[in-house]
Amino acid sequence: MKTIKENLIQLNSIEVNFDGFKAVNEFNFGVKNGELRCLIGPNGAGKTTVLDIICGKTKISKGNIIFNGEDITNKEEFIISRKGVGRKFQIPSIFKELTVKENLYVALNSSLGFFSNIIKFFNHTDKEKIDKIAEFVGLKDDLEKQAQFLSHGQTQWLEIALVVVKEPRLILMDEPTAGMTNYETSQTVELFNKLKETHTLIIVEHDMGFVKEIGDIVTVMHEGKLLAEGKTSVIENDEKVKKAYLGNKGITNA
Amino acid sequence: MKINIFKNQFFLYGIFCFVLFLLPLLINDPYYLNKSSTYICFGLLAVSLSLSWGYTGILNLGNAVFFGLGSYCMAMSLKLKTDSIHTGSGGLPDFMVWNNIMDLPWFWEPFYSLFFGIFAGIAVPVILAIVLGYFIFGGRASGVYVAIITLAAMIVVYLLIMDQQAYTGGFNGITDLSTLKFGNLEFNAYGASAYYLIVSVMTFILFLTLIITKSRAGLIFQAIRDDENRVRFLGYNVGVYKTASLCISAGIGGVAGMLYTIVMEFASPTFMSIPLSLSVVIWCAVGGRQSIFGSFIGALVITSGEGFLSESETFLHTWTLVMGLIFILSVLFLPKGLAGIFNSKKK
Repeated sequence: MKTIKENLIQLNSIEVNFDGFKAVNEFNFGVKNGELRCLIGPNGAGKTTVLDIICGKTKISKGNIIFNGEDITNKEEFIISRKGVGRKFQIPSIFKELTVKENLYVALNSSLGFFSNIIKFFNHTDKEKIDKIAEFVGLKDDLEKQAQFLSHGQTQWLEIALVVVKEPRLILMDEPTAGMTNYETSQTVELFNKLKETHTLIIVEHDMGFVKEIGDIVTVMHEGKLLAEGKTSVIENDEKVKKAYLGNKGITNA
Repeated sequence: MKINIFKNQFFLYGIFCFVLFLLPLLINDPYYLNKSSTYICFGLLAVSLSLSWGYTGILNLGNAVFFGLGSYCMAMSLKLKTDSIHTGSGGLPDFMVWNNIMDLPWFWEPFYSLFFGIFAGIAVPVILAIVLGYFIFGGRASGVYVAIITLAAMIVVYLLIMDQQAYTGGFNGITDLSTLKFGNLEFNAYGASAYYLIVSVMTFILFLTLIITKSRAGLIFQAIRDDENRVRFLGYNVGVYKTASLCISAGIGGVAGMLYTIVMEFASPTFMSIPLSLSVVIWCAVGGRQSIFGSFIGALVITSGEGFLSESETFLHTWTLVMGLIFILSVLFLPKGLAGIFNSKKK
């Protein structure tokens, strides 16, 4: 019981029902403060759904979610975000027609209400913070570039920057290396190892090489349920996990 | 760099407004002065759509409803100011007498005050925008559904006004209005006075929208247009921002409608009809919807072009073809509208 209390985020017997299909069922999951947790599993295991329910995009039909000692079950997305949950999507979502700098301005802005923003303009003190985060994700030379002209990898990094610049307590990343070249992936590994020092992260990833390089503890999901949890080296040799992955591909049954 | 563009834009707006203030010195003809005033009113209507569509991504096909409601509010006030000879027995508006109405309906009463009329000309469209925004954005409708709902909402108001002939003048609208008077100041629709009033209001609105689009909220509007979900997960209440954008748009539309009534000297249900509402979309598309100034110029160019062509003997029968050709060419070659020629963003 004590460990559950210490967890930054705790999911208790969650059930997600998509018109009768239980995408996530009786799922318990917790991540400690300062941990980097990788969430893996075969296609359709419910990994992305787990991220969606934490950040409020998908509503749950049973169970509850405790973040930082507070119940955030089925709260609105912007409220969960304000409590300190940052989310990066699988398909990079950034503001295409704005410049990189303007993208970062929108994310950096700490006053979120409409009426405080209609009378305010961006000023030079924000510029230092923007330079700092742009340097961190390697976009320092592209600040004036319109975001739609960035490469795919740069777009991913820009979205990571948008999430990180808000200094959230918990960062949720959905396949951050999807579509990246080997070089870009290795740079992303570096980026995550830096992030790991100061943030709590939950990362959904397919690339086992990437997971091994950044992850300490891995959670494996299968058919909406928790299958195994433990160190990468142990999980790799787990019989249940092997079977789930292979069975899903259907090779053995052919 | 950014600051410079900002200052340049202020400068550009300043020069433009100044030139329009000088126009009556060049045009001495009351007819053309009146025409110019109406074009500016349409320009303001285009500005209002540019803010909601071009900046926030809300394709409001019922934009003219705000224009029409503003127009009716002003017309109701001016109708009650008409000399009693024209307003039937006991000071009732003439069309009410024809419809056997004995007493002035309760919702007409406050319009005896011109200031209430002006207030209502902004407040009624804004309240409608709040209601629409609450349902549309609260229900997370987006894209084409927003266009359908707003268009339908406009048709509802249009039909309501057509149907309630005894209270609204129905198909004929509200005609035979008094001229606008503030104390001794009279704004004659065919004189320079009304024109100056309209250009003054236009100057105010252009600078107001320039400031709004340059504010933090303006940037957030554009971010919502590009990726609504991203904005939501950065902690912004997107529904509030979208509703706010629609409200500002509605307010400007209402003001444009009031000014239009002053220069046209009547209000008609056609002011909130589908043809006008869709024309605004074309003005914005030709001018460049993502530019307030571009949309304004787009409306001026098209409406004045239509006026000029339809009155010239050469194009008397073919002017709609010429306008159609211009639309097609601009869509083909100027995807960002006229504004795209001047405002090529760095790549």
